[in-house]
Amino acid sequence: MNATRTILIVEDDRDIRDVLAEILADEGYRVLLAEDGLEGLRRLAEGPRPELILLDLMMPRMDGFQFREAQRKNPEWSDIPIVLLTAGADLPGKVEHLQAADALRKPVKIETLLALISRLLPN
Amino acid sequence: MERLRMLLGLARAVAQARTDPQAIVDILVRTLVQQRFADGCCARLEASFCVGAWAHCDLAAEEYLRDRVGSAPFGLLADHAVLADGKPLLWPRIAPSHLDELSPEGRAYARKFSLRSLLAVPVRTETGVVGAICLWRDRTDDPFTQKDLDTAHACCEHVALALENAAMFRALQVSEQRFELAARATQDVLWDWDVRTGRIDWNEAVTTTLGWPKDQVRNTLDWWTEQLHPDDRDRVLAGLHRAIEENPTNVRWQDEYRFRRGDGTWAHFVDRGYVVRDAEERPVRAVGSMQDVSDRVDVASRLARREESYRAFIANSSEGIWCFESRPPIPIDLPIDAMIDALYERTTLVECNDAMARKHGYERAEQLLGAALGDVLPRSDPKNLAVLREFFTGGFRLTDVESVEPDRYGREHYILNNVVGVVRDGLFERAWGTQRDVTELRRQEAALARYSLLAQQGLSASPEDAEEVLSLVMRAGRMGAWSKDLVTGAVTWSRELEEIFGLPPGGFDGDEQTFYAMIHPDDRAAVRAAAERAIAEGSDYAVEFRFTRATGEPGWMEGRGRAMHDGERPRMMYGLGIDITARKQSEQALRESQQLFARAFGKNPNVMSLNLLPDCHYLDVNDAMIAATGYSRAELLGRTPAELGLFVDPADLARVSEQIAERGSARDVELRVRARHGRVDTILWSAEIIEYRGRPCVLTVSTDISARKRTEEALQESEERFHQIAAHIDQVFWMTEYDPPQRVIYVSPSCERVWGLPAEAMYAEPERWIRAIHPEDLAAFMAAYEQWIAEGQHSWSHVYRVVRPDGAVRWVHDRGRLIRDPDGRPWRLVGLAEDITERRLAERERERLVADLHAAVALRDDFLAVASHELRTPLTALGLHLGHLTRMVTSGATDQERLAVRVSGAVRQIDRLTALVDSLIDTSRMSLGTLALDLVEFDLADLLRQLARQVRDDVRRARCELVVDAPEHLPVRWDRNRIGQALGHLVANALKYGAGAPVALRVREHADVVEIAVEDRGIGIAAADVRRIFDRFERAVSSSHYGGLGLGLYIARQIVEAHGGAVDVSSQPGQGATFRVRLPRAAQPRTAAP
Repeated sequence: MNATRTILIVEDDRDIRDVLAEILADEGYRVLLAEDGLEGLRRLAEGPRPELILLDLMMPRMDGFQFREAQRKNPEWSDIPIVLLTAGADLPGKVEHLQAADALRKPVKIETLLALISRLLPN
Repeated sequence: MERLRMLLGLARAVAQARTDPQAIVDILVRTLVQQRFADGCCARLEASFCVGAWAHCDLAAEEYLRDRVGSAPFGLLADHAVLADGKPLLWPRIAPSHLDELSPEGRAYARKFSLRSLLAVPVRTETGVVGAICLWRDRTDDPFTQKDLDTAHACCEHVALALENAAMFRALQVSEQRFELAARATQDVLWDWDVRTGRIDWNEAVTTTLGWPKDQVRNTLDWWTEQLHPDDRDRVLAGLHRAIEENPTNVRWQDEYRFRRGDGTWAHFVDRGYVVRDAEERPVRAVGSMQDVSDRVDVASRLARREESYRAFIANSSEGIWCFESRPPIPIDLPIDAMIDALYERTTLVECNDAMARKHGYERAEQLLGAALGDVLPRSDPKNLAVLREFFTGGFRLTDVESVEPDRYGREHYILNNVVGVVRDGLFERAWGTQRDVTELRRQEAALARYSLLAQQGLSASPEDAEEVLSLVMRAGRMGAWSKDLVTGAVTWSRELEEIFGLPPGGFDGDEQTFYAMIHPDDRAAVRAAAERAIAEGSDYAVEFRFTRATGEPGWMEGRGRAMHDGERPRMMYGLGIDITARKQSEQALRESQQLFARAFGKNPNVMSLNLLPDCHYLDVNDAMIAATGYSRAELLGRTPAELGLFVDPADLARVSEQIAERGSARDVELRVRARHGRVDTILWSAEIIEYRGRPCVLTVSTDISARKRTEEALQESEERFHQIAAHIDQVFWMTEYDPPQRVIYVSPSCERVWGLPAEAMYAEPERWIRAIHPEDLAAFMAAYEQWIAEGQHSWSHVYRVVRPDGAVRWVHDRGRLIRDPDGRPWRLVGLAEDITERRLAERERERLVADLHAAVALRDDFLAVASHELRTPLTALGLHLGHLTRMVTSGATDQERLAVRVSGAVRQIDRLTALVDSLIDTSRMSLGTLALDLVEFDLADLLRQLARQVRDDVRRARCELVVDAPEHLPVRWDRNRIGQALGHLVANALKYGAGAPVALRVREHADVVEIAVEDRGIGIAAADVRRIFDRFERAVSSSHYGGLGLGLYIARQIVEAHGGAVDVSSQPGQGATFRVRLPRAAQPRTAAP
């Protein structure tokens, strides 16, 4: 199983955050949660270090763009791949702009998400 | 429906007749009666229309109206009152008292046809009440109602509209006709040539002025070319081609040519035209006018002929005639000596005749022309200087003044001069003169003077002296003595006679045949016969004959003599030979001069007369005068101009008489004279006192300048036409001098509409129009304008503002053109200034609308992005809840609690989606103003408690605490659900932006107002954003941070305002925000929401 794999979810919508956490936990991932960019940075600082970040873009206080910028500036975290979860359009543009590993447009299908994660975090 | 049909029918009929007010009222009354709206109807329009119409459904009544009252003045049936005060009149049932208000004709009609019900309405146009319509019912007992009055009003509105159209159409027609008339009235041939199609349109003048029958005139350039005089054709066409093709600065084209009239004769035309170009400077049209100047050309050629005859006269004159000219002219205010200096420096002989040349020893005038004054009139002779002094001091005139002038051989000649100087603008330019050689006369006078001196001294003359005196006397008398010995035939001549014949002393050989040989062959026989007769009869010998001097010069001699008889036989003959050449010459000259005068006078194309002083009756008149005045020679001779009433203004006669008496002449006086049949001509009149056949006379010459006057009048007329056109255009046409450019020559009256100043103000103060320019535009305007003037560009265009005296600002688009004279020099500036204020405002309005539209589109795009996000978020959560639930069920999970969490999560998402959809629907409804309130009495405290329960989960999720500070009970009369919704939005807003800090909900009671405040300690709102956050789709912060449709505050505000309340916010960025809702305790709903 994937007991050693850690994923950080940065998402302001509590329902989405909670369901994703439960789904990923059921799949055997260790899940860290943050409700906005600021909290996301705090989670990174506190550790443990995630191997993948699921990042929402539109969030209060610190949005996904600002979070990503801060993350990339820190050499310790800058190589952690990002998967964007967004309701907005122009996914390829955002992927390129934020140097994301991939992006999924909301609403996301659980199977698609899990397939993407297992592709990015192979055993 | 009937009413509608009638109105439609009326509108259609009126529309068809809308240029004719009479037709409009005819249709009106007929329609109203035919449609049974009234039994009778009359309409009358005053103001500028003055038309009336009447109709009745009963022909008898209509005939009565036509016969008895049709021509009656306005006011048949109380309609005069309507016209006077503009108020309608409605008498549903006519009472006897009503009849008192009618005119006598109206009363008679009312009694005869038992008038029952009446209404009258005014016809009102833009200019006010212009007429009235009166309707009545006398056959049906169906009183008019208020509704009928409305219908009548509607009819009047149709009529009024049609009348306004008619008035406008008529004004247009009048102005067009006026222009057409003006165009027709001019004698100039106007043409309008479409360069692209080759078509030329002519005005009437091509028929009236040129006499071409209409059916022979062609609208082509070829036709025009065919009628050009063959000698002028190539030149004119080449010039025209250049004007069109090689004339980028559009200098006016002008040419003079001969053009064939309809009757085949040639007319002289001056043709002037402008080329009109399109935006790419390609020629499009050319317009111009051909002016018939045949009269002028005729006068010019006559003038040339007069000049010729004058030349001939000068050339043939026996007197020397000359003209000296000073270049440059000499100021006459110089001291006399300085003037004489200048005269000798700058003056040369510019004209003279052969007689003048001969006096100076030359044969022909050309040999002497160009001589300096000093060559002809030596400065060394003090007498000449005295002559010049006299000339300058005596008003530049000399009469019979003697000068001494040497000929080319140095022989002195005594010259008698008559001189007239020409002085213009204080400068002496030239002098004309005649001169007569009086040298011989002076010699004789000197000799006689000497003899009489000797005689006075009582000296008896010695024989030598006596001989000398005799010789002097003989010489003075130009005579010589001779004798003939009739026996021997020997002839002796005195020295003087030998001199006359040009022989040296003793040169006569004593042979009579030598004498005869010198006589003109034609006269020899006569001389011989006279001599033989005198000898035979013992009578005096007297004969005049021509002879040739030894020098070859011809001469005339008068021979006198007598034979002396010695007893029976004649022995000796003594005689004198008198040289009468000078007398004969002057006789000849006089004869020639008289013939010349008669010829110059009688056949002169100018009107001439000779009036005998002192009463100025006509002594002689020439043919031109007879033709010009219409009087016969017999009618004119012996009568005075006053008796004939020739002068239109008798004061003119007195004026010129005085002038002639004072100066002896008059020059180019403009007079108006009346011909026999009353035609008045304007003439230029000159007169000079002369001696004619020994009597003092006035010689007058007049030139008819009526043709010039007529041209001036035509010009004036054309100006008038132009003014009319200029006055009728909305744009302001202006024309200024090029130098100085501010001087206004013309500005059309329409300038008052733009500048608010009458045109006179522009003429009176040249800088006035510049002062009117808006201060902010002045610098740019002056820069552009001055650059235009300085660089002489062809065209110029500028937009600026003008401030009227009343402070109103107008936008002006001014387009100018530089007009050059035919030599290409800048001449005038002309332009059209157009008031573009309305257009500008419209542009502004359009720009504003476009900006608004852009903002609205941006807002919509923004909203769509946000809405997409806002809808996708609950959808995502819903999808995940259900997807996870499915996986759990599929994998056989049985944990009820976990399953329940998913199900309730899914349900919550549906609530969120529902709320979102509701917000959108509410917003849409509110923006349409269809928010309906369901007002009920309820306890606000109760609502607040319910609200607190509803948001409990949200409060917890936002890590907030909700503090409610409100009275125990607070009855209000509001729409409970809507107020709950509004407060819910405010609280949600507070939780969203003030997450993590307490949120307070405070209620305060005032007299009739309840204030509910929602306080948070969140990020706050910048002052700049406060105003807009209550608008649709607006939020104070970027949508990437905070979701939401941006509709909550908008909806809250709409609900509160619909209750008659207000909502506002006070906030400092970073310090949180307080939203305050103030509502009347009992709602006072507005009738409509925005």
